[in-house]
Amino acid sequence: MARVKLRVLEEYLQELDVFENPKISLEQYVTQPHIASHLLHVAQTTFSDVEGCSVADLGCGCGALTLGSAVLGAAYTVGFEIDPDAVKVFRKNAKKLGLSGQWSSTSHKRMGSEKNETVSPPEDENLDNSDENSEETSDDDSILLESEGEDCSLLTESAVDVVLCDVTSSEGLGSTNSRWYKSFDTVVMNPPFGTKNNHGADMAFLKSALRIARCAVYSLHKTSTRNYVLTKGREWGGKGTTAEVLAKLRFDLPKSYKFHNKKNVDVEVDFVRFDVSHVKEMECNFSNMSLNKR
Amino acid sequence: MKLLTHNMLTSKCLKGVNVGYPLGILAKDVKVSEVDFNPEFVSRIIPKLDWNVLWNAADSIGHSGELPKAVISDYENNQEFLKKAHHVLMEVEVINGELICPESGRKFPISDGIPNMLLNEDEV
Ligand SMILES: C[S@@+](CC[C@H](N)C(=O)[O-])C[C@H]1O[C@@H](n2cnc3c(N)ncnc32)[C@H](O)[C@@H]1O
Repeated sequence: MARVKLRVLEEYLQELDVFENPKISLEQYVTQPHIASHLLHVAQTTFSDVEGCSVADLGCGCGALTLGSAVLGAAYTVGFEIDPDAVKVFRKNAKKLGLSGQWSSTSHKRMGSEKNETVSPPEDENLDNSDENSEETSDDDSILLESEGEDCSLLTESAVDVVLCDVTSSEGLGSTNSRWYKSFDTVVMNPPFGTKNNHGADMAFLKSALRIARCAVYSLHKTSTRNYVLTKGREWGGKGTTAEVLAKLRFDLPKSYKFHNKKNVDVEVDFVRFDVSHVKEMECNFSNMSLNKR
Repeated sequence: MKLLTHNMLTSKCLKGVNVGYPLGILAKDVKVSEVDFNPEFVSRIIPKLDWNVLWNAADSIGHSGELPKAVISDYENNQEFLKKAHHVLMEVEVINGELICPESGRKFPISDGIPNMLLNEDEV
């Protein structure tokens, strides 16, 4: 069961802004709302990996997967991103969906040109405790969605954070000694494909994801590298890791992302789920035994 | 930045830093907002935390409030304890300020709630 219907989730994601000046070197393109909503909805309805869970989004960009997870009721969601400009768009999107706390903060200098700018009082919002049916905030942005007859307060009380960092750092998320090690139930991500000057980024993302996930990793990879991805994934996840291709998709990438100079910019992409819930911490983490708290 | 996130962050990626934990907090703006209370989630996250670090972080920004200095036994069944933990972990947010590496003194800015842990090339 999911707390919002697939169609509604997709509509939420369609509201989100996209990269303003996509950086080719970071492979910045958004996960299309149609794909992002399906991915998250399957994670929730088939595997119960979102609602009430902690969810990490590696390379969160403008936030489609992070915010989508929050819409589906993730208890705590963290987006990790390397690009401060992308995070600006993320902030706008979080606000648009009506996230409270730091995301509704207007402490920042306000940009007059912004259509949906709101003048919300700086003091804490005092929303009542009932979750699903709490009142709408008096926020222009909520009204934007409200007009479609949906409950936009879904997001006001969810816990979302963003951290600016390089997710591929071997001393960071990619390390078994990191504090993040096995700290999230679920990872959802659309990593760079790791072509061009970004060689290997897809695999570095996957490695970090498998380090920090306790239950499952959902990821998108080029179908052409399927065997390699699945094999490496099972290896990095530790003994007991299973990998399953849940769907084969077609990405209609912007021209700038064409691969190996082929004219065709349609790329075949696997939607993969790695299950690490049966991996014992000890078996894949000898170097970390003293840090394991039980 | 929530204090739950702070509890996980380190500056270990910095060249020459061994542990890089805990990061000091210099808070200019702190905001308290309301987040859905999910007792099951909070009790699941507690074993992952460094409680001392949590308490000290909260205290250093003036929000330790009623948070006990140590995790109590049988916390899973103590709603009141879990609520207090929830409040400090999820509802107290540092909006602007700095995180400080305990070994090198390197400062990481927090702006509009987002900690910037990015390093220059010569720092890796
Ligand atoms: C294909 S986009 C996906 C964006 C977003 N997750 C979405 O689904 O719409 C990949 C994202 O990864 C980010 N990225 C690339 N390399 C990174 C790195 N080393 N660490 C963190 N983020 C990175 C890019 O800036 C970009 O936002």
